Amino acid sequence: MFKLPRLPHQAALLCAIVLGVSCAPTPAPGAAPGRVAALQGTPGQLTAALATSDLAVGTDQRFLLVIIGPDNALVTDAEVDLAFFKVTGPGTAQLRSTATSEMKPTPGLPGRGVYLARADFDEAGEWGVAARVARPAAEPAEVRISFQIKERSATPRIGDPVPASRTLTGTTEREIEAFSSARPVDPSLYRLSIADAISARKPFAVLFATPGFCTSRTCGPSLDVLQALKGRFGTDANFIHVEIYKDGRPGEMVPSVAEWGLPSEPWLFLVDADGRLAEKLEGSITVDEAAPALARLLTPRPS
Amino acid sequence: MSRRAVAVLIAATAALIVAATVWILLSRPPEYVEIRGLLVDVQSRGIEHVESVTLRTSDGGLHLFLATPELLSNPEAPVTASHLRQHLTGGIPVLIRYRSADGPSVAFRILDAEGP
Repeated sequence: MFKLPRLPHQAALLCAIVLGVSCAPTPAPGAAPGRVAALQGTPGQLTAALATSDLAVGTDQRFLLVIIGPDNALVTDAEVDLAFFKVTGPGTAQLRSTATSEMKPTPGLPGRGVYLARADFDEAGEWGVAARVARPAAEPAEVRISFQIKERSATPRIGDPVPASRTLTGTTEREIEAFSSARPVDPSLYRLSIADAISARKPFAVLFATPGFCTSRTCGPSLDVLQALKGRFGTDANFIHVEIYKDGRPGEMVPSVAEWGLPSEPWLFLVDADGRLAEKLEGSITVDEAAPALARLLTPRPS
Repeated sequence: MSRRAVAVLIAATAALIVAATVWILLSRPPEYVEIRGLLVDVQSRGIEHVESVTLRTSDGGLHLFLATPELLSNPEAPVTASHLRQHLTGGIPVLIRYRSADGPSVAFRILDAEGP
């Protein structure tokens, strides 16, 4: 957390919200499709997009922001400071917190990345964020976006016991290929079900993803991250991949998707030795971010 | 009626038919339109079903599209909401094919548009 660098940054967003200026690419309910005039997308300006889908009341929420530059490419070279506002009523908003963000390169996509911050949300409802984007050799610019905070997340909350799902397991490649879209398959990721991993009373990482559904570079890197974690931590933790779809393609989903309340994929969950959720990472998942969180679970706790 | 008059009548009729056909073809709205850009919002029901997407084009314009179930049911390249969110997160361009005759713009195909 930090103090905002200057007042106009705060005042600008407050004015924008108070004046009822839309600050989000999220369409208003019932908005007419077509060109979205109210959003004022214009050449030379930045656009922000929210890359998380399960924000809820709580502290230390993982907040991912994509910034698109005037050239319609992702901005990855900026210092981005965030100010979070709660919309408190028609035409009113209140600054609740500020945060610095860190650019996280997207695995498998050179030159691309998202801005990651941790934020506290003390109330459900409509919120706004003002991102002050400072790029090298350019005047700082501000971009705004609004979003919803839910009373409770759809996925398990940090600290809660995770569902003891009976996920599919297998030992041979042929057996596993029948339910996993990963190619080549790594049998060590299918040795245990989530229920087995909880019973083992050892920290574990479980990845819900469909690596083989699409052939573009947008899919697949999250499984690489799980394998990299396994390579780094070895037998100190267990590692599980759960396929989203029963046959590896859109259609029928496996029961654990509903049991874990997944609104999207991929998700990486880190669970402690007591079977409680310690960390959850949605969408853009990196070893750089997941490894320290998993390492903390392996540190012996004081007795 | 002279043979010459019959020939003129036939030629005029043929010209009229050709002109009418051309007029009908030209006045028909195109079957679909394509637009390329980056996704900045994906509204959905769960992991699979896309409700709407917002696209940013290279001119900075923002365009909102409703989604049809065709997106998901396309056997060649089914598109899920989660897949589109991965495009959003990765800044991977998409090509949207949509129809917009006298109503909302409705996307029925969304394709990967990565390339130079």
